[in-house]
Amino acid sequence: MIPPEEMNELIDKHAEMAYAAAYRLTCNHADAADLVQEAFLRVINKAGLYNKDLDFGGWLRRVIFRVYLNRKRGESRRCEVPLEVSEADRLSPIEELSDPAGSPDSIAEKNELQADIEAALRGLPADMRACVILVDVERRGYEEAADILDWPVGSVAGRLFRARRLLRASLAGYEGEKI
Amino acid sequence: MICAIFRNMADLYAEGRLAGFQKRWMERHAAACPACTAELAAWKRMLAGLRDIPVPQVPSNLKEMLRSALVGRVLEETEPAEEISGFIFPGRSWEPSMALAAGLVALALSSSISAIGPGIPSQGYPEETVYYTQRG
Repeated sequence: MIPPEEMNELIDKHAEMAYAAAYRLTCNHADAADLVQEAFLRVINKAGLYNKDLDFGGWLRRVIFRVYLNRKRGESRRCEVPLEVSEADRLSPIEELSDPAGSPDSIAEKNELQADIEAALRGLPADMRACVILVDVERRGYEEAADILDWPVGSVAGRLFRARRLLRASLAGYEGEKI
Repeated sequence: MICAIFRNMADLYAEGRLAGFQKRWMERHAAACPACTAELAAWKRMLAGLRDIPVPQVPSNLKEMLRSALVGRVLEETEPAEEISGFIFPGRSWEPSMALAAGLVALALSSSISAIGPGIPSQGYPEETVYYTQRG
């Protein structure tokens, strides 16, 4: 059992990391908070497996990715955003972007590119998005991503290959080869 | 054809995952093919853009929300680390060693009873039936 004081400490230490991973997966604040809460609950329910020497953050991250993918798999109706990004997505302001360096033009261009990349990322199927987030966004190795997702390394590499080409095609399509 | 191969490996090159001879081949081809050079630059920008996606801001009330949802449940809902091993009968749970011992005792009893018991009546010899015929 995890004592409440220790649970508070774990929340303080890992909530932000968990939320960042969840938000990147879900692209939505409400779903991200819900996913983080469910992941913490699952970890608590397995409290007998907890010990202080454990990499709690890694465990939580695994749970977040697996819960997310299971949810997506279980959804009877898939509501994926199409790869052709809508005008609304393209013009929506990016709340979290911050780039201190460079001229205003280059900042604007970079922010626009990142907005486009994020919008294209949202359009990927869940399993491909998970691979891209782990390997390309969080810069983890293929082996580590495979461990987190509990897939063979070849599955990660294959999905990543397809995901990158979908992203590339999506970006080239509406940006006029800007990148 | 060569450009298609180049494009299939462009992301791996940009990621630094190719072996030395593959890298050299890619560089030689890129030097001779402007279209592939542009393609490679596009891949590099896209991958750099992915790496630069900012960390999302965490809502200020996230930790409080988690605390209120979780801390109360820490005491209520905890599962044991492993499932209880053994056989569960209504009202009692036997350890595997006890179940094994009980099984062996039952086997010994049943075999000894069949060895010393009276046997099954139908297995006995039938009584001989003697028929007499009267002569004369």
